[in-house]
Amino acid sequence: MDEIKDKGIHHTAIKICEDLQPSPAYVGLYKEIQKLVSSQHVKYDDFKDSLTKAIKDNGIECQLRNNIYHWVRVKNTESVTGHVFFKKAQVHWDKRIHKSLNSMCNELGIDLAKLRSTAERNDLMEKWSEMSNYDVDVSKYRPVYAPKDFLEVLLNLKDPSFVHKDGEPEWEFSFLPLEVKDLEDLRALYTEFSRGEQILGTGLVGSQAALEEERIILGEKVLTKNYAPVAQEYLKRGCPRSLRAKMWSLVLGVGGKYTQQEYFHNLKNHVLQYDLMIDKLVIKDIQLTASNDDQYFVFEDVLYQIMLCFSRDGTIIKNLKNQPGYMQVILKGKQPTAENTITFPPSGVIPFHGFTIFLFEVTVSLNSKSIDNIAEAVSFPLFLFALTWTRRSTSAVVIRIIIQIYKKAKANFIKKWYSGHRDSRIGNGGTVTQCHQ
Amino acid sequence: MKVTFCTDLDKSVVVANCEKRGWVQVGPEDDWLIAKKEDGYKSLFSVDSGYRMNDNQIINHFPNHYEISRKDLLVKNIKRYRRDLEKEVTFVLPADYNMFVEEYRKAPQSTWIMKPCGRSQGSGIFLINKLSKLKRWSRESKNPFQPQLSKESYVISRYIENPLLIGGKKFDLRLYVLVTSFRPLKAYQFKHGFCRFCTVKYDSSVAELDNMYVHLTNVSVQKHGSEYNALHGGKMSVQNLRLYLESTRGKAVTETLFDQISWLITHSLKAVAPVIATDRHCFECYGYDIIIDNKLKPWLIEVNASPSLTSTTANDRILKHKLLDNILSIIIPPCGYPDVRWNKIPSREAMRDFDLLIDEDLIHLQEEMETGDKYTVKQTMYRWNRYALFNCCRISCLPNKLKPNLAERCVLEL
Repeated sequence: MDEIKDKGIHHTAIKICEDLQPSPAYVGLYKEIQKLVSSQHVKYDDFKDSLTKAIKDNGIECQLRNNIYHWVRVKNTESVTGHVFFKKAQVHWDKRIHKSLNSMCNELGIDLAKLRSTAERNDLMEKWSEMSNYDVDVSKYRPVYAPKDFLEVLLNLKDPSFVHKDGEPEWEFSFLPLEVKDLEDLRALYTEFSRGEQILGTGLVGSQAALEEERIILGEKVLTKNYAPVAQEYLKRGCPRSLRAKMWSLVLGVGGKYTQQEYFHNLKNHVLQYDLMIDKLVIKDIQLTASNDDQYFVFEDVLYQIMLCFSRDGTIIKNLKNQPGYMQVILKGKQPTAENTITFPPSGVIPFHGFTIFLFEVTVSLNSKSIDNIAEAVSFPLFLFALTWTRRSTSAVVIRIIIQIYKKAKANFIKKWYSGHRDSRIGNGGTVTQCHQ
Repeated sequence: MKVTFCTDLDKSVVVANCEKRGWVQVGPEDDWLIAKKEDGYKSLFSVDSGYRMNDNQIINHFPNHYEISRKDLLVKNIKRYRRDLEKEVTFVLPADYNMFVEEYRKAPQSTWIMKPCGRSQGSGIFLINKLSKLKRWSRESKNPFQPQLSKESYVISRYIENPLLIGGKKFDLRLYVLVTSFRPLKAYQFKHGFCRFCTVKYDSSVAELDNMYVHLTNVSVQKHGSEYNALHGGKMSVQNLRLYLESTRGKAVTETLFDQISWLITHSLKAVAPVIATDRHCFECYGYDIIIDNKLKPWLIEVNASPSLTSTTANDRILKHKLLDNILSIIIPPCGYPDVRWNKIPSREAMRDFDLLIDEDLIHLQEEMETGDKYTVKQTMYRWNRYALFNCCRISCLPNKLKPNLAERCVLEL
């Protein structure tokens, strides 16, 4: 038995190593260990033990653990089977959106994707840090959809297998069967929700300032540990504003590392190289929302940079549980070969009206001065996850944020949202008995 | 008895706030009780006018508020306030020209800003980085270095070349301070305020020296720029600034910055208190312009005795309406009727969105109560600081050990 277990661990270790090697963090880690080996801490005659000790002492063990933590997180998102009904609804929605994208292109006589000319590229590059001055006429463009359109679609989802039982109240917009029979099952299914932990700062007696101070002290301790899972646990109960940037970066495994800067520059180059129709939608959205808002206008230029790069980030579509629909678009005037075909949109996300506003927390929390921090912000969807936990809010607000994520990533979170929604209903009392029936 | 008010400023925020309280508007010739005047007040205070205010009349200006609101006089008063000044960065031209040149030669690379003393809204301001440019300016203006002949004097101060930038743009802070008395000093700071942003990215290079859209934050300048957006007017609330700073720089330094700003204001008022002709009929609301540099140190730019009540945006209107409402709430005694014999100590509730900055009456009261004080410090200055610290509720929530340090630092840095 032990032997099998040992083998299992061995296999997992090999698998992790294989997966880590191509990852961008690997190079840095490898270099640091090499440096360590050549230092005097590691002895030739006691190589293994002294190296293990040195790794521990120099905080590399923590880095390694964090890498595995991020590896596990990505792995988890891969193995989820979707409900057929939802998959269908999602495909239907994607088609609808793509259709309206195409018809807008036809109407305006533009292309989904083309190469930028050298002059255009230079112009964009010059105004990159001051995109509010970038002259492009987007007056004819309109947002593909508004959150309210999407909500409408959600509310009208009707699962054919849903049966309305007598005596059950009309829930107005929930026509989906619950996955569980009773409250116990529900708790088991959503252990994260049922822990009964209150988010700090809601309905608490005592001084808010004292609470925050206490929380900051604890948070700083967590940060010195530099261990992502601990930071995640900390975030679940609420994080003071002043520590959010650091906490989020730790949990998400982002930071101003060299490889990430490089990654960011690749995204930027993609923007400079290709003129996608979605860029105009991004610009339009920022112009409609952030530019006119007295809270956001200051961050306008940064928002352009983040949003444009975000739109090119292919890892987003890769890491979403249920693949959202995307198009394969051939560049204008090019042969239909593989290198002339790009995924459209590259990130799989088509911005809706008001999409930019969700970035606010990110721009406010991260110092937008340096480019590497903008690179940090590129892993935006992951930030939104963090947000759901950091907002000190009632469950209603959490649900609202979940809906927002949902809208953004289209049908990916449909299951969770509906169940989450019911969960809160049950939490409100009243309907608890319904579940037992 | 009915409360009547008289104003020569036809602004909806003023009239609406007064009428909300059931006050009646009257002309200057009638019997008024509360006056809000911008131009007419000077003649009112002059001896020849023969006008004497009675005990139930109050007015929104001090007779010689220009001691603080005129740029040269503020400089003079602050200088007098800190005689042990080691480094001078502001001069009045043409009077201090020679001193300026001496200072300029110490750091010939730096940029200086010239502001006409008596003007406002950014008019007549320019930057110089070469002495020759100043000389040319003086040749061009008529009688530059003969003070008795020159029409307009200027202050010249070292330009803050490292302002804190947000989104790459320069901004300054507009804060409101209500003074109900100078001797004893009674001052209140309004919780709300806003940052005024430039519309063009900050650039300290010489080429942009003449581009006022880069350097001057005044709305009256910025609104002529092509990038001006009338919906937000380049204004962001101070609360949002605080959130931003807390997130990016940390909570402790943000708190320190805002405490330092409160200190800066208190010190500037303390500096002019001896020369203001105090009058129990008067109260005044000042608009403070403050620039924060990238080391999070606040710099007082200037003080306006008649801050603009024009609303450029919807949020602006809400803020200014509230400002007026809260001012009236503080200046009117609990009986609801103006009375100069009142001790001018409003209740906590009446202060609404104002924070007490300093009330020397309260300090003395507390002093009398604390007999056998074990902390007694000889210097009056220091004692005043210490008491102000304990009286300002906003500061007293800091951990105890921080307080004395804070006081000392503020004194030194002003």
